[in-house]
Amino acid sequence: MSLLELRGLAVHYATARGTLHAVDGVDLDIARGETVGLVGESGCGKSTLGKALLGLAPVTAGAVRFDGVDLTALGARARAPFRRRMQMIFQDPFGSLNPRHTIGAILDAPLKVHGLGDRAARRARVAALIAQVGLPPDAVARYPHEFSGGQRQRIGIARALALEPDLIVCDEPVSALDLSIQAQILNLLVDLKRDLGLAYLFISHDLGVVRYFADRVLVMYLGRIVESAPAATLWRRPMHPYTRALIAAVPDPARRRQAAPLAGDLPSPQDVPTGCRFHPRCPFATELCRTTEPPPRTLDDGHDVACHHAETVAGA
Amino acid sequence: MTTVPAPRPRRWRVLRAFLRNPAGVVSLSFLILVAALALGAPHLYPDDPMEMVARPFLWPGQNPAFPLGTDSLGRDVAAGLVWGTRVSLLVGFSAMILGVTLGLAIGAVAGYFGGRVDAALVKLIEIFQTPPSFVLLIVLVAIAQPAIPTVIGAIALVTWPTIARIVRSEFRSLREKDFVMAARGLGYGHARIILSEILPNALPPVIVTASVLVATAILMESALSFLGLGDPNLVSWGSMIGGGRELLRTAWYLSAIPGFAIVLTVLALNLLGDALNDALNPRVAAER
Repeated sequence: MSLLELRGLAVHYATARGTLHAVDGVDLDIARGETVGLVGESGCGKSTLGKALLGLAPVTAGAVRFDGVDLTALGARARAPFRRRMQMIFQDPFGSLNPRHTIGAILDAPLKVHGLGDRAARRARVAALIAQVGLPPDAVARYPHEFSGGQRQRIGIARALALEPDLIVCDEPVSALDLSIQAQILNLLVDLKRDLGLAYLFISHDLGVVRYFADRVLVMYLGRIVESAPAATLWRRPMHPYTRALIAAVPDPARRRQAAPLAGDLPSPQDVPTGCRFHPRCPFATELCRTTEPPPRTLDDGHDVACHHAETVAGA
Repeated sequence: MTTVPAPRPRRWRVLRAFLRNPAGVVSLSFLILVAALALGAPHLYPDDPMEMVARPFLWPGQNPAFPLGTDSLGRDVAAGLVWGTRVSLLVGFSAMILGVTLGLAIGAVAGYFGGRVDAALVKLIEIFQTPPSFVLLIVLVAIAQPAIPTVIGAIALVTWPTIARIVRSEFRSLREKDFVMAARGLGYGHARIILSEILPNALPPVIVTASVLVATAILMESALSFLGLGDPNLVSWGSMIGGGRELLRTAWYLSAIPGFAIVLTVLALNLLGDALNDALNPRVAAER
């Protein structure tokens, strides 16, 4: 059984200009210890998806099953034990830490709230967490603004680890950091995964990072998953035209000529195109794409794609 | 584990920024002096300031025993001024504390929970803000007894909406921050998120407004006493001005002296508010 199963997850917001389909029917499985990458443009709903998993965004429809239990059916009190098992690392290391609390207080509070240990035990646990993410011991008494972006992200990681979760949602955890720092943080995440057997949902718009990091990659477009495959397979043989465009857009020193950029902008999630959501920007679009939404289909060994012309795309 | 001395650069930064502002330091010193006078009143003037102690209409400086002169009933103006300080500061600070507490509670709940709770509380705020506040104040005091506690309560009741609006807007923007998301994701209860996560970040504008609110409350109390709606058994700055009103042409000092006391105190509180605003705002503080 998967650790986490999403079935038909939808997050819709009522706005003045109509319903906003941030996440619109997503199926997703994450096994224990697996790293799943979720890629897509800004605004495609990937962050909302991550927040919905943790109950931080309102789920309109569908199920979030954690260890077989549907969290969307639970009240706040019944959900509490599951909060410990699923945590989040945020994109902005400057906004995700309360500027008024010391690092010690930031790491102690989750332990206190969940009643884990007495004062001495909690203090020892905080010190262990700080060491685990590679911060100096005197960080305990200091405030977030005294740290650099990379160090702050380490604090965010320590906070996510405090409750010993099984799954961590990493929402663009390195995109706000310098390139040299990105590698350090990614290595830390890899080490933690190895040591603690964590599963990650790694949300990013940076395919280079995801490729390095993920076992399996999901490509999200306008609230839906359009392709999902093991990382290596996806790179070798992308079958959705959107995935192809994303991969082609990754800067590659071996390739001199710049790849043709994706035409047009992401359509508004308040006004989703008919048929295939991608057809207005798709070089392979036909009349069929304009009228009929392609259902996701499994092509070979765990390679799912939602495109009428996947075979043509893969061969092109 | 070795304990490292906890550096508190943030707190020191605010203090340093405040000390660099001369207007703020002078205001604070003046207010401390005024507070000392208020506390020392029973020692400075142990007798009832309402009692007749000398010939009426002694001008300031005429008799060294009564440096600020006497009023139409032969009461010592200096004694009245010092005892009046007690009333003004008591009313000013009590009304502020009450108003800030009420405003914080209602503003925090409205801003944090949003939705229908917010809509209902905003309506409540608007009900209190619609009538002119001084008219509402007079009505409230006229209904209740003109005593210090009712004056304090009435002033708090007309000033809390200001605080509530500020707190509400701070909470509305802060609750969307990632650190609040993180707190929710960690399973913190609403009370902890409101009190420990959001409130400390929402306080700076409240502190600034609170200092101005003390000034407003002092002015309101003076205005009520001037109109004779204050506590008749206590001397206050407002009642002294009111008492001297009819003698303005012959003994103008009777109104001018307590008036001057009000002006200085209110000015000091406003300057203190400005200085706090600058000190608590990191961008402005850095430019100094």
